[in-house]
This record gives sequence, structure tokens and C-alpha cells, in this order.
Amino acid sequence: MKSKARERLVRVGLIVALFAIILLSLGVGHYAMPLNVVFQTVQETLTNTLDAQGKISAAMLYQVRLPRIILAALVGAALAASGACYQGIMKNPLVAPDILGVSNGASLGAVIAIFFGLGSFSVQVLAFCFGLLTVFLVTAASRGIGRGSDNIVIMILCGVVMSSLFSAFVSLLTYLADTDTQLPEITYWIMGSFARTSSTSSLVTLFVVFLIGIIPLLCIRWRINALAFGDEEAKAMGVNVKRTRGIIICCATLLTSVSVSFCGVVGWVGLIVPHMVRLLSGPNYETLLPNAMIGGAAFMVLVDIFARGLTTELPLSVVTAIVGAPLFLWMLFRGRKDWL
Amino acid sequence: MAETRENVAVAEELLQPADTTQPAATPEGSIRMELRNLSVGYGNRVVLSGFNADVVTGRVLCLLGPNGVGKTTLFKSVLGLQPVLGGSVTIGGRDALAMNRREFARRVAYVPQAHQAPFAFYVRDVVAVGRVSHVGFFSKPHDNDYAIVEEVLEELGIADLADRVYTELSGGERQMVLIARALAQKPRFLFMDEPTSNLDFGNQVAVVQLAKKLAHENGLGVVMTTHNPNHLLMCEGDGVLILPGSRYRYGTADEILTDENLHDAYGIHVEMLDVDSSAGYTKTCCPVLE
Repeated sequence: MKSKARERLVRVGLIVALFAIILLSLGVGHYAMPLNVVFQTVQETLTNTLDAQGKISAAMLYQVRLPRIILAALVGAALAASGACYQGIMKNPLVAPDILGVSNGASLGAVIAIFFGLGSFSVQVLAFCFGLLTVFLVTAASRGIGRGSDNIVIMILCGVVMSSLFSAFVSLLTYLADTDTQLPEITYWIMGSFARTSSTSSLVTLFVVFLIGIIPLLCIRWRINALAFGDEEAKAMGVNVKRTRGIIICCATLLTSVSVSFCGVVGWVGLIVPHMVRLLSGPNYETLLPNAMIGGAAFMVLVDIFARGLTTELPLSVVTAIVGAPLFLWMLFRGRKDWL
Repeated sequence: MAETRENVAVAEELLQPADTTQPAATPEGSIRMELRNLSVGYGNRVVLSGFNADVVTGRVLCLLGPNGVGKTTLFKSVLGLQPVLGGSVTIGGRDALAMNRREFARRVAYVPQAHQAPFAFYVRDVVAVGRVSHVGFFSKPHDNDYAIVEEVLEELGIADLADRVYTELSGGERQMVLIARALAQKPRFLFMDEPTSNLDFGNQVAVVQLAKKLAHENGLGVVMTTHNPNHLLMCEGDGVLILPGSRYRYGTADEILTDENLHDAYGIHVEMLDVDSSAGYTKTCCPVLE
């Protein structure tokens, strides 16, 4: 059982990395705080001995940094988990929410809701519906073109086509939007940012939707292994393929669209994090899914450190693309034999 | 051979799948899968109709026929992977077409051709997936499931592959792993789709020998599609030879493997030769080049 020991080791390593990155992230930003100040502030809060300077630090930590880190971690975990799930059920290691077009679909839904001045609940619902619609369009189109077979390349092409189509609609709405009220809000979705959402109530909403999406996936994650062998084999092994895949698609799409509706389109995370975790601890979904969640959270918090720590506030997608594209090329070189 | 088949009573279906490590199933414990008046095909196009055959535990049934006559269609229709156009499939008297996937999978397992998986699973995890019909919907395999995995790997003599990566194995090894996965399902029937294709000569014979052993010693009902009529002779089981034009021959090797039938099926000149081999089989099929 060599493999099990390795899986456990990777889990522990990822958790340690996540906490180390969170600690690092607490200190980084426009108002820099060395680690010892962070610890001191936490300690003084617990013992209730904050001085004036300490109170500023505490406000910074608890009202600005911590909510933002929690948001980044949740979004990273959600995107990595949904990417891992899409890859499994489509038995295609090269798909991800952004490559399938789900992210752009969800962002079109969100932009439509803003354009017509609907409330924030409608933004969520429309983002989810459009995300789901995209999955169905992409899978139906690639099945139709590939005459029933699941061709990896055709599916990616269909995703690219849907992505561009939806982003064209987003551009159209941006063009038509009111420059004073709607445009800033829409622009924010297109770029992807953690800068705005930090109120406790919105974090609670995100957390609840995150749980609704992730709990069913965690419960049936081992079955994704069976689906990864294809519909016929999964059926013959006794899996109710339609039901299982339906649950997984709905949950993964919910996770993607809730992330998009909170902080816009953040590319690459759903593609590269599951891959990195697979390289470390193998493709068994029993460990892959939890590890991808932890890894995704760590990656996203790390990306956020660069997004706000280097100069001014950078859009997240800029950072994930700069980090993700070379990483992905490297992984393509490593794994190309198995994929294409 | 024909007598044994007739003597097998239509047994009550055993609800518990047999322990495959047990010695040969006695005729009393055997189960019969009956295919009656079956029509199969794609959409409205019927490829094969009026098909009747029995699969009995403890015996091998070889499915022979040229490309495109509907071997694979028949195979997949019986497995419920594509809709049956007419007729019935019963297992121990129960309507198999009405069973849900889980019920069916506990009785019938499918061994696909050795393939590339999209992900680099460990062999142990591949075989464990075979337990999916025995594991609760929200659960994962437990220690007893992994014990069955080890036991099956041990039985097939591939225990040393457990910690290897499936995608890095040879074709023959991958075929053995897929057989192990099917056995981990603890089925009564094993459907093997051209298990010898893409394998070298040695591995082909090893797989046929294994199919025969699984039927005769472990009491499974084995159905195997193959392109080599000699496999039927080696298995000492029953055969179905599907002919072009929705016709077929069904019977023992002696009954269906005749010069005329093989010429009818493949359009080539074949001679059935009597041989005196130490393995015990007395005939072999020899194509004659013209």
C-alpha cells in the first residue's frame, strides 16, 4: 500500500503549505505587517491588550485581510474541485471550467443580471443557469460533431467556441451598458478580483453555496473513478451513469458559477491545480478531490499575494495566466503521451 | 458435452453472487442466462433477429463471426449498454432487461478490450472500482473490498502489479487487470469483448486458458467474442457463429465448426483437421490458401 502512504503525505504537505501561505498572506499588502506583528496582534486580541497602533493592525487583519483570504481560499477550492470533477466525468484531463466555457457562460449570466438591474440573488441564479447551459451546449455539440465519441480535441474546440461566443455577448452588453452605473460593475466581472467582496454576509453566502456544491461531490467522489473509464464501463460496473453524472455536473457548475459571481472569471486554477495534485498523489478521486480543494485554496491565496503585494492591485486572471500558462506547458510536456 | 447442457436444470437464481474462489459449481447451483428471440441493432436498423442462446454457469460460450455481422451489437445489447429491439434476456428466470444497473452488475460483469485510461490510476484502484456495485452510493470501498481486490489479483497471479500504474502496463497486463476488475464485481457471468485482440500469441493463449479456468473451476458463465475458431475448440464450450444476413449457428464446437459453416461465415476455404495433441483437443481449424 505504498500509494496510500504517499497520498497521506501529500495531504499533510498541502495543509501545511496552505497555512504557511495564509500566514504569509496576512502580512502582505499596501499596509505591510511582518509576521511577528501579525502574531503579536492576534495574541493581543486574545488577551485584549491592544494599543492604538495594535487596533489599526487588528482592523486591517480582521476586516480587510482575513475576509479576503477566506474568499480567495474558498474560490480556489471551488474552482479546483470543479475542474477535477469535469476532468473525471468527461474523462478528459484537459478540460476545466474556463476551457469548457462555463466561466464565461456564468459571467454572461452575471452581466445580464447587472445589465437589467436585477438583484444580487439573480446574479447568482443567472450565473448558475448560464454555466449549466454552457456545459450542455459544449457536451452536446462535441458529441454531435464527434458522432457520439468523446474526442478530447473536439470537446476543447467546442469549449473555445462557446467561450468566445459568450465573451462576445459580454462585450456587447459592456458596450451598451450605462457608463456611470453598470460599466464599473461589469468591468469588475471581466477582470476577476477579490478586492471588493469582503462583507461578512456575502462571505457567509459564498460559504453556504460552496458547501451545497462541495458536500455532494465529496460524498460521491470515489464514484468519479468509475466514470473516468467511460460511460459503457461505468454502466457495466453498476453505476447509474446519468444520475451520478447529473449530480456531479450540477455541483461542479454551481461551484464555478458561484466563484464567478463573487469575483469574476479566474482562469487556469481549475485546470492546473488538479493536474499538479494528480502528479503528486495520483488520480484516485478519493484523495484527489480533497487534495485539489486544499491545493486550490493554497494556490489562490498565493496568487492573491502577488495580485495585491507587488505594485498596485492586479486583476487575478493576469496573475493566474502568467503563472498558469508556463506551468501548463511544462505539464503538457510531461504527460503528453497519456493525453493525446 | 451436449448431454451436460441438457441435464442442467433451470435453477432457481441464487441471490448471493458465488464466491469465485470456490471450486466448480455443481449443476444444481448453476444459473442459466436465456436469450430468447432477441433482436438487436442500431436505431431502427436490425442487425440480428430471432436469436436464441443459453449461457450457463460453468461453461464458456464463444461468439464467432466476421466483422460487421453484429457480434459487438449483440454483446452490448445483452449487457444493456444499448437498447434491445425485441425479445427477452432472463437470468435464472428473472427479466434481466428490467434490472437496474446495480442488480445487473452483481450478476454480469463486462471485460472491455485492453485500453488506455485517461488517468494514471494505480492497478489496485482500477480493480477496486469493480466493487462499485457493492459499495453504497455515498460510500467508498472498505477493508473487505480491498481484501477482495487483493484476493482477485492473487488468484490471477498479478499481485505484483497492485502498486503499478495502469497506463504504464503492457497490453497483456492491462487485459489481466480488466479481468481482475470484472472478477472483483463477484459476478456469475463474465462477458469478455475480444479479450485476445491486440495481444501477442502467448498472451492470447493465456487469456483463453484463463477464460476456461474461470468457467470450469470458478463456475462462472463466460461469454467471449473472438476471431479465432480455435479458441472455441480450446475452451471445450459452446459456440455461436454469426453468419452474414442475420443467420447464425449455435451448438458445440463439433456442431458449428465445419468446413461449410466457416466458408459461409468468412468466405474462405477452411479445413477442420483431426489432431492428436497432448492437450487433449482433437481438432484444429486450418485455413487453406488458394
